[in-house]
Amino acid sequence: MAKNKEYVSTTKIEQRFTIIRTVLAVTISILFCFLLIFITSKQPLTDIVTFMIAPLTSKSRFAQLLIKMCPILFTSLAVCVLFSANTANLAVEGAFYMAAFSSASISVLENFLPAPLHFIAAAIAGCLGAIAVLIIPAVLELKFNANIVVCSLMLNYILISLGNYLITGPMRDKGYSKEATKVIASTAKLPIIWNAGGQKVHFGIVIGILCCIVAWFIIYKTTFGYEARTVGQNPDFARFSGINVGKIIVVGSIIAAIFCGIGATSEVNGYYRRMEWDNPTGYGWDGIMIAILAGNNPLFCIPGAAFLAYIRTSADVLNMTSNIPVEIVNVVQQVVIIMIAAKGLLSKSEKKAIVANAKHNAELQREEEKAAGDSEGPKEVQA
Amino acid sequence: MTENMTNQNNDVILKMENITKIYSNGFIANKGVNLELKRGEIHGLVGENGAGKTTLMKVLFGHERPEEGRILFEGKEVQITDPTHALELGIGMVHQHFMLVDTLSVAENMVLGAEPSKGIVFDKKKAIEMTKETAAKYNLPVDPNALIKDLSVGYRQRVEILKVLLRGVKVLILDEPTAVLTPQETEELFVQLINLKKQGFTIVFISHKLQEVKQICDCITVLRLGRVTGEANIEDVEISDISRMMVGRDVDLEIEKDEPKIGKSVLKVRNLEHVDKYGVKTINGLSFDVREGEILGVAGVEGNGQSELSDTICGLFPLQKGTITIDGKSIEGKGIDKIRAMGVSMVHEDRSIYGASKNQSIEENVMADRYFNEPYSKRGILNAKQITEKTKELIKEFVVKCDGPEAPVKTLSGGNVQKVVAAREFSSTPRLLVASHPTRGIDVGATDLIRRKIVDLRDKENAAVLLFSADLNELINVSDSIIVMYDGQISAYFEKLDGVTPNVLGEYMLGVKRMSDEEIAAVMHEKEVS
Repeated sequence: MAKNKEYVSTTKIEQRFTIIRTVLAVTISILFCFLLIFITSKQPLTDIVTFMIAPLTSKSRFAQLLIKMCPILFTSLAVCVLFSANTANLAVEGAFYMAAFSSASISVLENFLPAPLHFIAAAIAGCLGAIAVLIIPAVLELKFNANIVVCSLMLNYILISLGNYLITGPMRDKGYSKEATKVIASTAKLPIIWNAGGQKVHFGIVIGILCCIVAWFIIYKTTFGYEARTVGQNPDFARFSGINVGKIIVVGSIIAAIFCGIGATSEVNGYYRRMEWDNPTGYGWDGIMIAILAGNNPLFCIPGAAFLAYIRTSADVLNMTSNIPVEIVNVVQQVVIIMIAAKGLLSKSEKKAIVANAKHNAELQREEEKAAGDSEGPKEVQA
Repeated sequence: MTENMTNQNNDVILKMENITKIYSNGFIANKGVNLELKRGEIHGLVGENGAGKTTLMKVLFGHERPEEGRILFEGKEVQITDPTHALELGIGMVHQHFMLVDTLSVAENMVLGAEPSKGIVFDKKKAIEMTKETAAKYNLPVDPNALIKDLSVGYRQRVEILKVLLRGVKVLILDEPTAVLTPQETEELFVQLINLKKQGFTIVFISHKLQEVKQICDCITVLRLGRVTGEANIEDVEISDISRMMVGRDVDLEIEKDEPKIGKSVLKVRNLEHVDKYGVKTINGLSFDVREGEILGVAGVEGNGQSELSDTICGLFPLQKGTITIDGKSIEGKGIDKIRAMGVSMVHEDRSIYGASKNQSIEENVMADRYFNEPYSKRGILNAKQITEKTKELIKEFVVKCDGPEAPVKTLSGGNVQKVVAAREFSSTPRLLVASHPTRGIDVGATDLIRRKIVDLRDKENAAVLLFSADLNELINVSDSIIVMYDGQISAYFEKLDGVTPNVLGEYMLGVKRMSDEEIAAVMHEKEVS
């Protein structure tokens, strides 16, 4: 048998296992879903098929997928930026929610600015709102050594109440039957790029994908990204190298907030007639799941967000065609997170592969040394 | 069959056969290693750092499980699953870094893990009694009521040894016991070890200091790159033989260097004081200069203010009291980035935390102090090509063994990690290099390279170098002058090193001797102030 003559580095094996682990996590979660459908459905086979292919069966369903993908693309980017610097700022949820309010306060103004400028002004307002939120846990940690996870989680609850107050009080259009703001001015709306049987895909998806590229560039190609990744990997090393760790955490939070701001504005001004979120959207939590799935790489957020939007669309269809409730998506989502978080998954086979490879490399090296007649190899000395 | 074996090798207490240990990062630490220990011997386990000595002993002590091989203890095959199990069998280990609780007393530490009790209450009297008893039995006197934090390193080690003896071990593993000791303390330890040997204990003495091995061991096993490269009775081999087995070639670690061309002072430290977070004054009025083209060595037993000194110069600790200037400019209130911008390069003693970021690539590590400068980046955007080019150049210059500039640092051996650190810190044309233990725990090849590069910095770049090292031979060989630190102060200044030996330094390190204030003040070189 011809022997593989190639050296394989341990890193390669680790990378391979990361990919296998991600695919496995997604697969297992979907299989789990099948199981649930099988148990609860009256027509399990039909429903499983629907769940698998629904978004591809009609233009309008595919359009739905794109619409659903849009907001979670932005929140996942924000999380990627934060997590790259290992900043566990979980206030993206609240930041996205608040951004919707601050941008709406500009969007509803009639005769404010001409078309693209009005949207940009609203987006800037959205960014400022998101910055105001995300900066709080970062500053609390830096100034008072408060745990950022706890601060940001608690902040989300405060913002739920604040949002409730705004939408039922000062920002509410009192001439409208539901709790919502005034109608968003036509000059602030995003154009519809595809109308598939009433499912209107707006320009937000394009902005989202562009933002992915920008975020990828920031994280991997700029000095800031380098600093952030270094802080994320080893903050002590970063500090000793002269990197201002505090600055990175603050700037990272601001950049993440900007993605939240643009995202919330795109979502509201692209999809809705009025801003009508009386509760946070959950997109921030989705973003965390996608960012983890994507390994904090913004480019992988595109397939990640598409995956989540796909199963959501499927679930919506199932909701209408069978007795399976739409909450089944939550099950998939949670299982994916658990599987990805389970770092021990496959660790035994990974170790085995690494050990085997190490032996293989060592043998190759010895053969090479022998071939080269290297006299420096370890010699047995018996005295 | 096992009985048979016992009968055959009456004096063999422990045998390790064909031990192979591969770590989960793919590193083969031991490959088919055999080791045989006899009753009542001091067995030297020698090898360079990274040769696999510690790993082998971790396998024996149950810290690590081997991938292959078996262990026979008193003729019976045993599976050692954890340290508690090893202790029960009668195998004890004294680690390089002591496993003592600083705030507890000697007696409390001694019984930790096997505490005597009255009902559910800890029986302190009994603990003190046990301590006294053991101390008397093995002739290793200790004060059971003293707190560990008040004790010297040598004393602490004695407590560690006693602690293991108390558990009734037969095999005692000492992992580089002399690394933290002064020459005088080492002598004392050796007397104790020989005493224990006479009482029938088997001692495994791990070291890479060959004189010590020759002096105290009965026989040796030499490891290199995870394999056994030699076994011998000590009287049959010379130090040079052992060294050859260790390194695989003849080594001459002496660095040849010319007389220094000393210029004006770069680093000036005046009346420096530092109080640590526990309120202990770790630096107490330190004043010295380091001049251009000069390597000033700092000797001292660990914990006499050296770490605080280097961390304060590097900006990790804020300057509390006194002044530190670099080329006349104070570092007070400056961040590490500003201090680096003043031309200071830093090799921190803790390589794995401050020296390198192990999950990142070599190029990301090498660039950490210069990514913001052209040509490595422009207006905030990195220039990947320039970075890779420069990294390749440095990999070549510092002979880093790796898969390429993009290989993560965690895939490198300790010596190569340190070369990456040196490649970064030595290549930024520093005015001042602060190097703490730059060769600790790395192989001979890397040690030699790093020492040469330090001398190169002095000669070619005219840099000032402040060198901290626990290896006194290294200090004497590489430095031009040496200061000794004791209890947060300078206890000696040797401007010329002719006739200075580790023993001479040792007396000042222990505080037995102290030079006069005038002699010490000479290190300030005040007359050369421009």
